[in-house]
Amino acid sequence: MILWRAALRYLLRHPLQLLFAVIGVALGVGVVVAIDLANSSANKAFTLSAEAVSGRTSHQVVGGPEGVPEELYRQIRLASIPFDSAPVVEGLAAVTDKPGLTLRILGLDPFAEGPFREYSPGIGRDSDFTRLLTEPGSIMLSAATARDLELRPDMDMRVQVGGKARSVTLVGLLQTPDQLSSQALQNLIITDIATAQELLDQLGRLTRIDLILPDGAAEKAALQQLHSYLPAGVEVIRADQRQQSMVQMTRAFQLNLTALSMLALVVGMFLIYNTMTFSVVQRRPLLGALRTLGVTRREIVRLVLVEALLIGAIGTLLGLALGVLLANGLLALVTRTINDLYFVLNVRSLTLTPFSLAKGLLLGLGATLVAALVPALEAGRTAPRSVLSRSHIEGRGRRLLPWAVAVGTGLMVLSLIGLLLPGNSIGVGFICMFLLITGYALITPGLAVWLLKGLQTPFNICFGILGKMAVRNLIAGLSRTGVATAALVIAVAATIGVGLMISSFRVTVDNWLHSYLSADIYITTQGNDFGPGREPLEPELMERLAQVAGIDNITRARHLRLEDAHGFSELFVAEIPESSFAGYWFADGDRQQIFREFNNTRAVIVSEPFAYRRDLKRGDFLTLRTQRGEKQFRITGVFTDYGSDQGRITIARSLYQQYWPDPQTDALGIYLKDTADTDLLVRQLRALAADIQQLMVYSNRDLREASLATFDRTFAVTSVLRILAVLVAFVGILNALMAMQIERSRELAVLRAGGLTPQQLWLLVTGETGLIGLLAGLLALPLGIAQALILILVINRRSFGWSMDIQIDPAILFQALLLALIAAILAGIYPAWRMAQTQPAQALRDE
Amino acid sequence: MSDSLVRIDNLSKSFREGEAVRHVFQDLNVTIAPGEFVVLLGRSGSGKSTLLNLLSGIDQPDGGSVMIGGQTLTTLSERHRTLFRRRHIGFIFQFYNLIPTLTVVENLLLPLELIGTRDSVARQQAQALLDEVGLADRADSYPDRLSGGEQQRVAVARALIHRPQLLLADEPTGNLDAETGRQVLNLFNRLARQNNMTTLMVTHSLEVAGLADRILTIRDGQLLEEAGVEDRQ
Repeated sequence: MILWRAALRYLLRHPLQLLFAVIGVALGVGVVVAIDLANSSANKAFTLSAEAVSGRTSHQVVGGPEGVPEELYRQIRLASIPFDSAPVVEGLAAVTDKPGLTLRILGLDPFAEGPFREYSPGIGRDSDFTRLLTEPGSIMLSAATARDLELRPDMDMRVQVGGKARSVTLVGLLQTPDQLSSQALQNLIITDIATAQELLDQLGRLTRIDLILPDGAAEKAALQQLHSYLPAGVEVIRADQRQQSMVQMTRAFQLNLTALSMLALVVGMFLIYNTMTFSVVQRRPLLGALRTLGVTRREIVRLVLVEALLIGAIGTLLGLALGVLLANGLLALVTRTINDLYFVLNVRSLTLTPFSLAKGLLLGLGATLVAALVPALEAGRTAPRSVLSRSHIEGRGRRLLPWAVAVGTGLMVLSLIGLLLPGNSIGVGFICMFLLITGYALITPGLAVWLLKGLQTPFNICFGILGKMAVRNLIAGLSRTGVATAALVIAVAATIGVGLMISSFRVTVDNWLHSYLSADIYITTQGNDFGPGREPLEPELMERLAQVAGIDNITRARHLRLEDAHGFSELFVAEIPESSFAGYWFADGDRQQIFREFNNTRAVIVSEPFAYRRDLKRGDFLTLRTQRGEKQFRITGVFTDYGSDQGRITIARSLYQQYWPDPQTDALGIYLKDTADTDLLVRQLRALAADIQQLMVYSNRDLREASLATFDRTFAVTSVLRILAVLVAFVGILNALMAMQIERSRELAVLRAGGLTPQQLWLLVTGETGLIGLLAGLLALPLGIAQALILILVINRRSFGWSMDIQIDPAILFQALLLALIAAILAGIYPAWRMAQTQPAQALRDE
Repeated sequence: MSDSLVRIDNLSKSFREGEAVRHVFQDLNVTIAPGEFVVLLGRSGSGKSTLLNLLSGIDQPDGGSVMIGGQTLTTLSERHRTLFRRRHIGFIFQFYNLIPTLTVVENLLLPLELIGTRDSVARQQAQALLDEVGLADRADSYPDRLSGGEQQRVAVARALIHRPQLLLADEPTGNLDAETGRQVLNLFNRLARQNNMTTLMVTHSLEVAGLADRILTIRDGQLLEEAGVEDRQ
């Protein structure tokens, strides 16, 4: 149809504008899709491996930090309770020849396995399974995992379990019926109970007992019967609840990434809005002519919307492709963070779900339509008689200004009220942030005019009539500059907000580490994930250490994972000298009193995220499942801790041993005599342990650096998102300002005809765009700081329970200002160059 | 008058200029017969273009009514006025207002397409009309490649292509040199009369006025009928 052809050709005649709009949508959609794919791939991999490990299990018998006594399984089997049960020993093994690769050990009983896991070994099905039972150290792997490890049956593999070197033999391959099962079994070592117990030093103990209980009333009866057998400290939980708890752990982390990716989309939306508004403003005479010819308002609105959809569709398709590419990179970052902070997860491939892609498609097209709606309606309102009347448009814009300021202020007040209301919803926090952004965007044109008016005189004095003209042009062209400036402000503010949040967090963590880590050297065994705990230190090693010269004091600690209906948390068993206790930051209470109560009463101290998640405060009681049954412990203090977002309960070692008969230690804090050389001792201690157990020995400084490195890794993905938002912002600035200047070609040609030299033209154009950049940069500062405050005080607190110091780093503010300014000046270069190259007569004729 | 194509009754229009209200005209009355060529004279700012806008339905009066071909425009909704305009009115502007992103022939096809004619006959019709205005060889050029006179000839063809009942022209030669203006005007006059179209043309040119059947002048907000063209000559 000819009308559509007219619109399409308009787009093609403005290829740069079209290109930038498409890039804007593509980047916005790409970032959202990438994060979504990375998150969903990680979740999918987790669910698959969790399902592979739990099979058809409906309930699990779990114990305290030490797991479940093996005897209990025997009792349950002998009791002839009418349901299936199977013992499980689970742990992790690092492959010695493949640094960084961790496999999950799953020790099973082939006699009991039948109803639980399809792939699991069953006696008589294949002779390999018999070897599992009869040959110590024998394991099975999926064919794919064996291939990755370059292993064939009867070959040995060296692994590190809890810091100790072990060797296992592959006796057979697990046959998987399909790709999905193969994916589920990747990086899983299947072995029998005895081998697993031996490898993990858990003789006589199980990680858990899996059960398949009937549904409904029979479930209740079965549970009742079961409970009569359970010793103190052992509990039955639903298998899906356990899996849910683990997914829950990463929820806040993933939600934050999603929200940050949405920020990129919002910036992208402003870009589309700006492009469409601009193309409408630019085409007013054309639209007016069409209206005079009898094209209806509805047809004009449809025309603009279809144009926008076209841009949106191309941008979205490119965005989906970009998203898949980006997701491959982000997946590694997301997986690494999950591994650093939550649990061991191997994700080897991106799962391209149609749902993720459809969501991206819908989001891209939806965002484009929403962004184009206002300009489309505006185009539909073009009255035929106002053809060529720019003053009419600008007049309308100026009349709308007070309304925009009023609505914008209203939205910002609403956002503030929402933020001040009590509540823990992360979603509400993000909605308030987006309300604030929209409100501020609405008042930006008003603020810009006000600032520009103030700049008229200084510019006149500094740059003469040209300077004054540049300022006046911007004020007079409010319909173009207003939206462009608002788009810039949003984009630049997003980078400030995220930047300040990360830097505040980093400074706080650094300060906290300085204060919290007080020993000179730390020794620990290699960490485990959600299993029963870290491998204990060999007693022989402890004896050797006690004889090393230069050591003043050694404190012992134990890291254990607790699991209950609320999910997972860490129990930190510690001997804390009073001098080290001084390094703890408590939210309230007298430190000395807390110290006394911590060491002398049945009391614990809990970390801030723990207290936040469980809604606990100082003086409350916490129930823990001990080996002597459920016991209540008073919370004597709530301390700052950035070590775990799941929360930490710290208990005095002497108190712990009263309720858990566990004399073991998995970490040591070593305090040196003043004369000792730390680095020398670190080397000495490593050498001392080498033949017994592989340990991690850190000096205070090394541990601090390693912790900060983990922090940086955690925020690597956030930083990548920030860079992408900056990129979208940069494209937005270029797009808006370049289009604005190109549209002024005739006006500039008139100036050239009137005697303006090419140099003066350069100055005028880049001066104007630079001024908008400067203005946007300045106006972005308060919004960026406000966004950082919301991220720090509301979002992070609600997501992770962390409080942190607010650090306004001037370097980040300066970078943002520079970003806006450079992008804006660059945006002026092309139109200025084009105009300087073109003969004024040609430009006048082309118009 | 039942035999009139255009009938204006007590038409009033004013504009707000800041706090003040400027009355362009009040209680205008006029009728135009089918096939009549009427020229509208008046000083700049006297309201000539405003009257044209009201006649085409692209603006609404403060009071009074406009009736074209028995249809009262002033009671129609905005949408129906637009649908009426695309079918029954042709418009020629001083600054051509061709669609820059459409070729010459496409500019002609657009009004036909808007009224639902989209076949090979339409294309032949456009080609024939281009032939008549002497631009058959420029059918596939874009408007910005054409001279002012050529652009205005395309605009004339575009206004005529869908055979509207009423042709409105707002200073169609105002932007052209005398010779080109004369050529465009003769073309316009010939085609309009050939197709028996009713025409209302705003102009400053007395030469143009010489072609008209009737001359109307807006002065001090009133519409005055000038003496017969023959008398003036």
